[in-house]
Amino acid sequence: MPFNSLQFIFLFLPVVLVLWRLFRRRQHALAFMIGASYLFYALAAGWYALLMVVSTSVDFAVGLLLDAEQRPGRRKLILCLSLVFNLGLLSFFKYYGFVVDSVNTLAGYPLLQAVAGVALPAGISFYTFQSMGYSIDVYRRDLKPSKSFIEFASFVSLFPQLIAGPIVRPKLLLPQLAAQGPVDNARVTSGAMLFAAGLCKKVLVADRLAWYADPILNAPGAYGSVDLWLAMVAFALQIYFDFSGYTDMARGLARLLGLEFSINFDSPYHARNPSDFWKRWHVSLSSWLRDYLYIPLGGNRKGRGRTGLNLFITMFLGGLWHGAGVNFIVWGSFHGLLLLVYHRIEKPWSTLPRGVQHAVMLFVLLVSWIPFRMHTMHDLGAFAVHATLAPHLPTAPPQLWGYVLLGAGLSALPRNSNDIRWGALGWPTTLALALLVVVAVLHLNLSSKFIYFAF
Amino acid sequence: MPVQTASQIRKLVVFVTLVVALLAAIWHANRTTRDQAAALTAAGSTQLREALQRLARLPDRASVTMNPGPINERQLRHVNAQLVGKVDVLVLGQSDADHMSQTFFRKGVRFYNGFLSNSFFAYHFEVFEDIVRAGGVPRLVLYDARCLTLVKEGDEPGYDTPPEDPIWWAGAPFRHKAQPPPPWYRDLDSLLSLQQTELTLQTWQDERQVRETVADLDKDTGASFRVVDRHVRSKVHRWLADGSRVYPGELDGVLSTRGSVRIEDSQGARKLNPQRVAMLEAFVRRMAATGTTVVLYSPPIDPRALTPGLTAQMTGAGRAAAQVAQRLGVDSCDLTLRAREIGCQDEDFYDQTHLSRACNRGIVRKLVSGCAPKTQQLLRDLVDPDVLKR
Repeated sequence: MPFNSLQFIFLFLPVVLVLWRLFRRRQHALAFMIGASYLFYALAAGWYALLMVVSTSVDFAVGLLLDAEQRPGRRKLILCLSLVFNLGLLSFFKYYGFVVDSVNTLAGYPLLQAVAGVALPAGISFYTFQSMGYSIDVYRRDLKPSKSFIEFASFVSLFPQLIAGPIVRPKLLLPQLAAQGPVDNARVTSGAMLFAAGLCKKVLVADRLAWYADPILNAPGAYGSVDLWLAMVAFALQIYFDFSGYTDMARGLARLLGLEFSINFDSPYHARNPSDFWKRWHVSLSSWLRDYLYIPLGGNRKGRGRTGLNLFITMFLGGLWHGAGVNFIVWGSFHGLLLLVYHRIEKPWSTLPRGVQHAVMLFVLLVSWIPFRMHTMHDLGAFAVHATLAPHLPTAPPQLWGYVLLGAGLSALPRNSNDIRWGALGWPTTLALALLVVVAVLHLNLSSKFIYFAF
Repeated sequence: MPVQTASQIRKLVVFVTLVVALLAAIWHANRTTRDQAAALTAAGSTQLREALQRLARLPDRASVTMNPGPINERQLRHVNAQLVGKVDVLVLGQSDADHMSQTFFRKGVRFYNGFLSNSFFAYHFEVFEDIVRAGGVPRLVLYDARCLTLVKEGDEPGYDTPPEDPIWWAGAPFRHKAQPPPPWYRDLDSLLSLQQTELTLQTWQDERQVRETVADLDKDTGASFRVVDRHVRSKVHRWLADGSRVYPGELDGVLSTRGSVRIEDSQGARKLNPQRVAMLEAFVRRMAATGTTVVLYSPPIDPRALTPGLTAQMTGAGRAAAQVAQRLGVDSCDLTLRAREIGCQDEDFYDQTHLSRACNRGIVRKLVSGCAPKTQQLLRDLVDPDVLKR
């Protein structure tokens, strides 16, 4: 039951919102929200919902133990319990199949047997990071541990951010849940409009781009350079509108519940350098990796060489976080190298005209999406060969050009969905948005899953 | 409440109301036109569909020319079911029911004659299903289960007969073995889809085109699917908006020509076909299970065609039909050998089995006056009191 489904929009969401507002006592409301969120999750992940129960219980207990324990060695040991459990869970479900395939490929025969029926539980990458971040914050004494299991369980399981983030920091969300009072009507209006805008971004832009670009990108060997580059531009726009549309919907849902999530995108294609890009793209993940991986590795405190290595390791693991595939490793490594190089040339780079910085950055980003989109080495090779050595007249449908122009125009706008006061839209905009939502709903049966649901 | 907050809430209410109202309107339009659009798309030639749409708009003026036979007629029924909507009285059965008419029933009673020439029981059930799907269960089904059919040689297909089985002529039923359509609440994805909305708009556009051409009747060239004046004689068979048929040369229910001889020498191998009897029972049981009231009847044969052998065969077949009716708890009225009793004269027979409108009126009169005792009150409620006068 994704956000872009009739069942969610017209059944689950209204019922949950109405019932949520009926509860007078905060604990009752939160308990109801946990139930609703687990129902939402179980519909997507089935019995894997039990994993989330275990993960929640472990990190809640770790938080309490860390609070009670003062000896540094013991505290470290307790934190390790959380890290080993969460990373073990994530590694097993995310990389087990990849490891088995890789070992068998290297061995040349089926050395390892895959366990039948092991699938990637939806959202596991997001909720384990969120839960693990809590344990680390408590360990660092940046956060008082939650004494209420209901508050903590609702923090981990809250359905708007459960499947694909944003990865909300406990410092931001736990106090909101603890202080949950009457819902602010202005915030509700703002949430509804933001949700609607996200739906339109996903269904009317991202899915339309995919509709026309996917046939080309799924068979790169059958197309020439113009079509392939056009389709890759379409994918770059698609993934932005897909994920930022999802984020807008999640943030809108949070506002409908009276909560506020952190932003996840900030006009990423306005970036003029790799460092700037990662402050704008999937911000909740990049900041998580910065705070819980890059800085603990030493950050930029141990000399230029070590800083570069830390950047590379962080981005490499960031790529691996997306999935167990060579393409994600290549993608993460590519961005690691970009950051590494950028830190070496930061000063001369900043002297270049802004337009040049922007144009080069856009091209580099476009190249970086190639391994992300091409799921096999064969396709990646075919793309590389045909995109460079097979010039030809374009055959892509005119609609693809149209949607690329639309997406490029929208992503180039000076303001993004973070800047708009959604609760204070004018009447013409409100009515136009309502009509767009109707058109979007008519397209729902053509709508695809959110790309980041796969991670 | 601050002014700004009140304004925001007003906007939210308008926003949600507008979205829900527009989607509800689209859903309603799609649901209303979906079955019609599907049937119009699935069945028949464009000529037939357009002709029937025009006929439905001019029920008192027009008739549609068409060659008889199950291929054309089944398509006609399939499309017509969508055009007539709710039906109170449905006539089913073989072609000798073709002169059962709307004029026998009270004003306001919605009547449809769904007879099919030379047809299987499965095809009759197909018409019943189409009518039920389009407008709900009829109150009364008058089923012409003529005795001659029950003594016909050959196999009778059931709904589990595979569509590729050579036994079918004119093709397997439209929804043979198809799953029943999902209820509306399980079909929202489809009903609120862009494709269905486009189909609705296309259907509306087609209807507008039909409306623009409906006022003019076609010239009767003798070709099929012409929309011609029902009050002018034609050399070909014509169908009226109530589903009944007009024979060549017939005008306002009065026959002027005669059909060819249909009953061959009754001596020979003709005998009761138990498979046909079983199929009759199976399909009537399914109809009755929907809550409709079914009356089985067998229309009269021209007494001049009756031989002692045929009379004996018809008596046996009538007994078998009566047993079916008894097992199912429905009425059965066998008039095969009772033409004179209900007032059918020699000139009322187009051929040995096909009857004039007046003779069919006699059948209905007989049903009301005691031949269908369990259904008598319902028949009285539905039938025009004038029909009871001889």
